[in-house]
Amino acid sequence: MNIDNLLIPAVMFFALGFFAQAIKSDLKLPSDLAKVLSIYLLIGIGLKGGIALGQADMAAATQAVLAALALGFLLPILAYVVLLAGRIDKLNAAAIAAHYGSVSAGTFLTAIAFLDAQQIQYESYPVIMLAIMESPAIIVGLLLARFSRSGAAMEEDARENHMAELLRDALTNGSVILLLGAMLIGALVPPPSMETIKPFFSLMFMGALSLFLLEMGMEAGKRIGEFRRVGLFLVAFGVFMPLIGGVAGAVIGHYWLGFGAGGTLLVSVLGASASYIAVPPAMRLAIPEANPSYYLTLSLGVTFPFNVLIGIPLYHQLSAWLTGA
Amino acid sequence: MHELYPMKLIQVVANTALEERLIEVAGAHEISGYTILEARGAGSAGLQTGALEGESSLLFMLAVPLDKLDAVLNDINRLMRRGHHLAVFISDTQVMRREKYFSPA
Repeated sequence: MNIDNLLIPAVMFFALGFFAQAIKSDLKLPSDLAKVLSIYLLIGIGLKGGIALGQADMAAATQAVLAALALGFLLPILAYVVLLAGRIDKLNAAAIAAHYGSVSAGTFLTAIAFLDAQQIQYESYPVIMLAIMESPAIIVGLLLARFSRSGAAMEEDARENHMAELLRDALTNGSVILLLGAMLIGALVPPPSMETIKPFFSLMFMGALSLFLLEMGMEAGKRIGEFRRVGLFLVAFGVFMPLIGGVAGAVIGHYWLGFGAGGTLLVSVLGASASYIAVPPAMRLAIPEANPSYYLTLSLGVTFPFNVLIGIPLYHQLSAWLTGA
Repeated sequence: MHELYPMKLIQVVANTALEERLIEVAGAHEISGYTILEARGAGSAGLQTGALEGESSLLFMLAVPLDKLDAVLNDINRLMRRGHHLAVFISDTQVMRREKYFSPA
């Protein structure tokens, strides 16, 4: 692996945040900064996807949506099976699996920064897939949890048993609304009008991503202490599951969607990443029995750093090999 | 000397995703007011740093008349039986202007 691959501002800021936490620096960012930046980043990426969608070939876009649904529904089932094989209880397995079927916008944007730095072109359809893939895994997680609870003592009137209500929660999730809403705005607003917000949402974008990753690096560093609580099997799962998802994504990106090396890398990252923004609050409501320290430590403390520092260059190698680039 | 009225102060530490459900508990018992503060910490649900939605906690504060305490605690206990990670503290308190703590009829 070429070390130059990691010399990207966003990745370096992630490492800086992690390092600051490791040496117990008193560095503190203002409260709610990460929440504000995640809203900004989701709108920015949604607008970018929407503008691309406005100029897209509908047949290709439809294929991308179908591929996103396939990944979003199949990956959590695969993760669930792997977790059960590792003797993780069904409800924790369902909650963790939902995180691994969904996606991390932060990882996806880091992959875009990686491609930009290497001046590798990429298709715009993976942005649409990013928006689509937020929800299916939550739905699969809800179904797996419902299946796991059958026979268990569960109050009939408990909201966790009302699928319609939980599905509404999954589909109206704030991240989904922001991404799909911004995509719609990007697709509908004429380009000259879009120019007025371009400096804010486009030129400043990678700077904001760097700030976001600085805080996420600190967050990941804080979770090192939680590794003992989650155990060796789950930490190993947090490294190997992204590799499985990354290969699945790369295969779909290249063989199904016919993307080049850049687009294939982005689909690979969609398969490899685990959600830490949209899915945790949804699982809090839908599978309250699951232990949040498991899924948060895995997605934020293990898989996210792994993907940012090691996974993306690996998926790039795989994509380049598949596409012959 | 001011006139003071005895009440119970219920304080619940929960994930922010549960905010709506805790407010529903107050509403179901016609308790007109509550206070919510952002909170950070660690417990059975692991580290709650407050950086992102999934790891943000709140402190929900509710003053209830003595005769409503059991009913309110039953509702909170139902959330806990379903698996939600809540920390619940109940303490004696005194308030001024007792009428502030009831919903208008």
